[in-house]
Amino acid sequence: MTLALDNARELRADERRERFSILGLSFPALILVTLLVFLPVGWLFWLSVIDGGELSLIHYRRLADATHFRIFYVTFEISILVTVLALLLGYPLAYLMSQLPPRWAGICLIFVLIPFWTSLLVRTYAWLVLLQRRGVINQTLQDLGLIDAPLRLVHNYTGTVIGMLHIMLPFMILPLYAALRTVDPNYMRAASNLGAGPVRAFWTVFFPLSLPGVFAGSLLVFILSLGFYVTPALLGGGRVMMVSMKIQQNAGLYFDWGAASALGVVLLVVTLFIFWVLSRFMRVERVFGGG
Amino acid sequence: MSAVSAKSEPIRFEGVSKRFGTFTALDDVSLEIGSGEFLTLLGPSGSGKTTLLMVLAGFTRATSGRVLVGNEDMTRVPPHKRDFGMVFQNYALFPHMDVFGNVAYPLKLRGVAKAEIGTRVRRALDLVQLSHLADRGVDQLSGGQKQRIALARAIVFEPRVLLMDEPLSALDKNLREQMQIEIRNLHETLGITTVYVTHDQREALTMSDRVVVIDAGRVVQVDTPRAIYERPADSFVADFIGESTLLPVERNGRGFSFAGMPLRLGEAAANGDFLVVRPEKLGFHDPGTEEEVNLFDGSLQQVVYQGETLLAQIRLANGLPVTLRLSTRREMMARLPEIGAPITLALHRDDTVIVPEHRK
Repeated sequence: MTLALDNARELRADERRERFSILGLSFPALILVTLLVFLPVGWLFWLSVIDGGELSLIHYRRLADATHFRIFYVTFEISILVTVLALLLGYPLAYLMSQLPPRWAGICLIFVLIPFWTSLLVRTYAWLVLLQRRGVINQTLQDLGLIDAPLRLVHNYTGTVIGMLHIMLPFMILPLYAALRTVDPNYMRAASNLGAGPVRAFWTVFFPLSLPGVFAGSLLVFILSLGFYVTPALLGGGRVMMVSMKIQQNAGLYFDWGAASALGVVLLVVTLFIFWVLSRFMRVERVFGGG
Repeated sequence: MSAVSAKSEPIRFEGVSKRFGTFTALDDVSLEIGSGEFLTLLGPSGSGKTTLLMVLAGFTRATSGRVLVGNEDMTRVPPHKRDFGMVFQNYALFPHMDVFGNVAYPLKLRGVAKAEIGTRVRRALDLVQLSHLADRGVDQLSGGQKQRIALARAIVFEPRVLLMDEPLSALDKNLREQMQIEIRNLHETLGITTVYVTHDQREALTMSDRVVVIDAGRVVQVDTPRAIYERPADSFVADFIGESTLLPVERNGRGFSFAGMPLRLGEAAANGDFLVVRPEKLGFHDPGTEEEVNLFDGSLQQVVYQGETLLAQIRLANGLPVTLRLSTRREMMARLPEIGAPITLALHRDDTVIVPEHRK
C-alpha cells in the first residue's frame, strides 16, 4: 500500500518535470515574440499618446478630419475590392488544382509560387512597364484597333488595384487550395447520385464546404492589403493615398512620429476588430460542421 | 403513394469492361440481377467489385459494354439522372446540413412541395427508427446512426435501385451484425433491387439472395449463398469463402482418389484438381458409417481453444495438414485424443467437394 503511494508521488513529479521541459522549449520563442512584437507595438502606442513630452490625445484628435477619413475610406475600399477580385480569380484556379491529379496540381502550384517568390519590387516595376501609356498592353490594344488613345492604366486607382491583386493572389490561392483539397470527393458523388447536376452540386455542397478556406484566404488578403505600402505607392503615382502611405509621409517627410504612430495604432485596432468579428463568424461556421 | 414504396427493376450488365491504362479492372462482365433481388458483389480488394458498382452508379465510365436498368440503356446517362440511391462507404452525409437537411436534399432537388418533403423525410426516418434525430448535426451522430441516416437519404426519393458500397465496414462487429439484419429487413419491406459491395464473405452470405464472386475483374461464380459455400466453382471461391484446405486429388478412371484412396462422392457432379476440406465438415469416425464417408488417417498436432469452437491441427498420413473444427460440447471434446496420438477423420460423401484450379 505504502509502496504504491510512493510510486504515485514519483509519477506526479515526472509529469511536472515534463511540463516544465515543454515550457522551457517554448521559452526562446516567447522571448522572440516579446522582443519583436509586444515591445515595438507597445512603443508605437506610447509614441502616439505623447506630444512635446506630455501625455496627450492630440494625434488622435487630428485624425478626425475629412482628409483622414478619406484615406481610411480609400484604404478599406481598395482592400475589399482586391479581396473580392482575388477571390473571384483565385477560387476557380484553386478549384481546378484541387480536382487535378496530384502531379498536375503540383505543376500548377509552381506557377502560383514562382511569382510569389519573385521580389515584390521587381513585380511592381514590371506592372509599371506593362501598364504605362506606351506599355505592351496599350500598344497591343491600339495595334488591334480596339482603342484610339492609350488607356490610363497606371498612376491611379486602376493600376493600384491591378498591381495589388497580382501580389495578393497567391495569399488567396494557397489557403483556398489547402481547404478545397480536403473536401472529400464522395460528397460531390453523393450529391450527384441524389440528383444534383454539376452546377447544383457545386453550389449546394462543394461551395458551402469550402467556406472555411474562403474565409481564411479572404481574411489574409484583406489584412495584408490594409497595410500594403510598396505597390500602391509606386502604381498609384501619388494619386491614391492609403493609410500606409500617410504613415510613411508623416514619419519620413515631416518626422511627426506621433501622427504616424496614431495612424498605425488605429489601423491595428481596426484590423484586430475585423479579425475578431470574422473569427467569431468562422467558429460559428465550424460549430455547424463546416470544418 | 403508401409508406416509402419503391420500384423494383432488373439490372443487366452486358460485356462491361473497364481498363485504366494497361490495367484491366473489369474484364467482359455480363450479369443479370432480378427485380427486387439483393445481390452482393464479393471479392478481395482490387478485384473490381467497387469499379463495377461505380460503373452502375455512373461515376466511372466503362471502356466498353452496356448497363441496362429495366429496359433502359443507362450506359451514357449521367449519374444525377439515373435516379439510383446509394450508400457510401464513409456515408458521405453533408456536414453543413442537419439530419433533416440531408434526407430532404434529394427531394428538394426534385422540386417536391415543402409540406410533402416534411412527411416523406419523417417517413424515411421512421423507417430507420431515427425520427427523433431530425434536428441533429451530422457530426453529433454515432457511426450506426450515420449509417441509418445515409440509408434513409438513399431511399427517401424512391430510387429505381439501391447501391451500397461496403456500408458497414466502419462499424464494430456487434453493430455490423445488427445492421446486416436491419438492412436485410428493410430490403424485404421495400422490395427494391439492391446491389451491395463487400469484401466480408460472412456479410455476403448473411444478407444476399445471390452472391457474385469477383476476382481480377472477372465474375468467378454467381450463386445463392448456400451454393457458393457448399459448391464452390473453383479453388479461388473455395479458398476465399470460409476456411478450407485444398488437397490435391488424382483422376481415377471416372472418379477421383486422394493419396491412393478412391473417394466416395455425393450426387453432385465433381470435376477438378482439389478436394475442398472445410474444418467444420470433418468429424470423428463412427463405426458403421463407412459407406457414407471418406476416412482420413492422421495424427493430432495442436489444439487451439476459441470459445464456442476449437481448432485441431492434424497431419495426414501423407504429411499434408488439415484443420478440424469442433464444438466445445463436452462429449465432442472428450473424443479428442492426446497431442501426437493417431486420429481418424470422416468426411461425408455429400461434403466431399472437388473443384478445378482457378484460372488467372
